[in-house]
Amino acid sequence: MSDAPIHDVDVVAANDSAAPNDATIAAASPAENVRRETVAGQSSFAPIVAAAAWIVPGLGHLLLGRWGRALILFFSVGGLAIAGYLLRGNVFPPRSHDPFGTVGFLADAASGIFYSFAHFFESAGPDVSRAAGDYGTRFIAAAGIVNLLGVFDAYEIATGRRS
Amino acid sequence: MHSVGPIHLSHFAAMLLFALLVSVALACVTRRTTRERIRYAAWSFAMFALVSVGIAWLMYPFSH
Repeated sequence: MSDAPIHDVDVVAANDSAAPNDATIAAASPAENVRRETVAGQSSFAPIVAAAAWIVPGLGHLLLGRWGRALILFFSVGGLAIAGYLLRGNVFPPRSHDPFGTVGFLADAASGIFYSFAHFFESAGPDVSRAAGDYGTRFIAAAGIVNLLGVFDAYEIATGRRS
Repeated sequence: MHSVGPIHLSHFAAMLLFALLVSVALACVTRRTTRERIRYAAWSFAMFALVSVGIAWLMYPFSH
């Protein structure tokens, strides 16, 4: 094993407060060091992982081999978005003259591919005259925000800042 | 392609569904081990439910 990847590992460890210290790294098994080097080498892959994680919730983690996290994120984001549509929540369109509408669109669109499912699950359109419709609006926005957290998590894993 | 009809949930059921899905996702993203995730998801779900019911009772006098 060369010294260069070990240097990369030290940089990654210095950037992550939760990462093990130098003594822990030195004491790690060769297999663990190889795993750390592999993760550190994925940093150039990180933007692709982030984009994939946004388009399909969980796909970024799937590309990184985190099957469990990928499935949980997919079903959580999908569950929130679809429940929101079925509750007839408001789906914000891309163009809005209202700043709140723009923010709402950004939150909704953050759920990636599930944003495009709105017309299928909500063919009758939104109905926010009932409380359920208002809840649905929050479900849809929450789906996007949760997916954003997943995007950041996948990006940080790809850059080696998190395990 | 057939569309899917709307669902009807009570306020409490909608809140519990929201709490469950968000708690699981947050636990997945913020905790590293399976044990920590399960504990965090359960704690977060319980807090969602308890705080919601607590706030509902606090607002109860103003509804009449």
